[in-house]
Amino acid sequence: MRALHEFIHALAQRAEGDPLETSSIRVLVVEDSEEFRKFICSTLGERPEFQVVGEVTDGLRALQRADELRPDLILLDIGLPSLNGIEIARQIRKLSPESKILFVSQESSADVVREALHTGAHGYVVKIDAGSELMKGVNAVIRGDQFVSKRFSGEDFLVSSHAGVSEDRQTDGSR
Amino acid sequence: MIVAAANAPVFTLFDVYINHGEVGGYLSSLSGQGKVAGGMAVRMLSGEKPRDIPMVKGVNTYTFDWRALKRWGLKESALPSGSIVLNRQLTVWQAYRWYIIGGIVLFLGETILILALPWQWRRRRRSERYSREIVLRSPVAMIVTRGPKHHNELINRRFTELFGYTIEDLPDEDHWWPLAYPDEEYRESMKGEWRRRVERAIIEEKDIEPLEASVRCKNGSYRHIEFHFASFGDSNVVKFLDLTDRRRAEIQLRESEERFRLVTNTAPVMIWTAGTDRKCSYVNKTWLDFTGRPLEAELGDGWTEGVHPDDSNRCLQTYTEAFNRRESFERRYRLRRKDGEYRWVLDDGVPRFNPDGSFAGYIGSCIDITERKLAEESLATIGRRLIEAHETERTWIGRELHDDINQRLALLAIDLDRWNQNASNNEVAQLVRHTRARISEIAQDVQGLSHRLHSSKLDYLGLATAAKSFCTELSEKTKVEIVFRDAGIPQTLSKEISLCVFRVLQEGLQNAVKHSGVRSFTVDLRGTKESIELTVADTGSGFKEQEAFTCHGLGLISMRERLQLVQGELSVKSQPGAGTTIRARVPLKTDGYRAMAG
Repeated sequence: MRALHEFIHALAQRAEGDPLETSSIRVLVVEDSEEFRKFICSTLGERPEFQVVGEVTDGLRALQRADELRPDLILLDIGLPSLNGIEIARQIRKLSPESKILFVSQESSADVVREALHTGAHGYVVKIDAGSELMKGVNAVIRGDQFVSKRFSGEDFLVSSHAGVSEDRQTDGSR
Repeated sequence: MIVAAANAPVFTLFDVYINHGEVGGYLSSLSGQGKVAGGMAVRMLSGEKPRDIPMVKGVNTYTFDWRALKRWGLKESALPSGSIVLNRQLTVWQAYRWYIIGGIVLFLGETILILALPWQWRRRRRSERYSREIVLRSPVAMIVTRGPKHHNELINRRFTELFGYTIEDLPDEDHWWPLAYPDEEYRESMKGEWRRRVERAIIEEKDIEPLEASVRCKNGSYRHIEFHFASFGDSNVVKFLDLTDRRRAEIQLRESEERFRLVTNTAPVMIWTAGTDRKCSYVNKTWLDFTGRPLEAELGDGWTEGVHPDDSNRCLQTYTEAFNRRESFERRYRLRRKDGEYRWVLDDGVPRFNPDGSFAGYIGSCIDITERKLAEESLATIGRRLIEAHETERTWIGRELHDDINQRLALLAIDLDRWNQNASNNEVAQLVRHTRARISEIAQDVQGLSHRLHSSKLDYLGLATAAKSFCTELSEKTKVEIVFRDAGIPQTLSKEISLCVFRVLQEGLQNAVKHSGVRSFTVDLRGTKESIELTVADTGSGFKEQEAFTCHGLGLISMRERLQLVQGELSVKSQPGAGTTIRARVPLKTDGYRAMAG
């Protein structure tokens, strides 16, 4: 019901054609922890150019909303019910290629970060560092830069292609 | 008369005068003249003119009478050449030549025969001596008898060794009977039997059939003997074969078999034996009670009728292969009980060998393992449920730690960051930073724990990357080198399969790091259309493969059980000092897989 309400609200906002909205950055928040969602929304709320156009807690629902809303920015958790964030990112790259993706996840393993960025996402913020890094990440991604939490400064996440295939792996794509 | 009175040889002119004492001479044959004249007359009569017929000169020859020549001492050599001597008298040689030659030949023949006789006697004596020696030295006990009264001519050494009797004890057959068979009744029965066989031999014109009897020896002991008879003219040879040991062995064998049967019939297990022809030669009472069939029905190949048709081929194949190699075997099959129900039996067969090492067949024992099999099956189910429950529990705890505790720790850290920004003084700010760092550490540990309990990476990254990530982390944590290779692992795999392979990798690699004693390992993960194969290898201390699932066991056992849940299999190759390689193979079921991938 709540999702439906959000959807109608977003449609209403679009229909109104508020001139202020044209310059705002439309954000979709995908996060299943209510407390964290609140934190994200309130952090973004401090900046008027950001407009949270949708909040979802479930993987498949996130795909649906991304397709509908075509947001400028998607803040994406990884551990989600029904579909994990990395898989969502892969699908969104196809559904809404213009949407920028910033992962906000508690996964602090470099392998996960690497895989997440391989999907074509632009940034990765570890939740525990979100207090200081969330807005840095959002700003960088909006600018078109890549952002990765400071704790991974030693790691090399240079992503030149979005093929999603690591160099030493011969993945059988047909399966 | 003239001739007789004359004191000198009288010669004549005509041949007809000879034989009357005349010596002879150049005589004219009157009959020869007649013949010539007659011949001319015939020629004239046949028309030939007399003037055409030539003149005949004469028909005279020199002819003499041998008797007159002798009388007058005239030598034949002095007569003219071509002379004919009549009435010559024959010499003794001329008259009796053939009689003389015959006599000489007869005489010479007799002489040769007379001369050869002693030589022949010597030969015969020598031959007899040889025969005697052969009999005397024969390893078979023998007696040679002669004449209708069967006088014992020769008793050999073996006979005396065997029975103790000498020729003095046994001068003839009559002495034999009471000595050999002191029991009168037995003696009479033997005599009767002996006579019957002699009669039968005469009627059938065959040798006398060998006879067996128990013979008393001189020292009072008894031996079991087989008698063989042979006749040569008025001589007989009796051979005595000692069957005592063989008979004793037969008796012992029979007793042993009887004991075996007694033991097996009271045994609680089903027992069978088979001969060298692979056929069943015996089953015990327990078997017969189980199948409810008579012994005859089970012998040979009969027992296979009770084997479940689905198990029959496998059961016989196991048996035949082991039999041909003379090896022990174990087989499980369903055998029909007398109530018609098929029961699972465990059948252990072992080859039997005679004391001389020759193959004697097989002996086997069966036990009804139906209950055990059911128990094993339920145990396997319990095992599976246990693994599943364990996994569910781990997943739940892992998720709680990850989604709840860790999330809350993150929020706490974010709050502290805010406080830090608003901190009034440096001391408080430092305290907050310090606390935040500790919270971050705890969060890190909790995440590590969560990953171990339930690898969310497996969900996020897929099997290959998660496996690689695990190897990297373990390598960093335990300071060892792990070479990871992967190829052909599908992006999407069923959760069961990826979790199973991942768990086997975790268990196997951790075991290897802990026990191998080396610091270098290789992990190989390969996917084909049919299966996923994981190999974890080290070059470390290794262990005995037989002990793999006992001593070194729990890890391997749980790996194997886990694999069984996805129809996978585990093989372990290890040798003390030569490292260990464990290989897990999980089949990819195409249908299930497509459903999962689709």
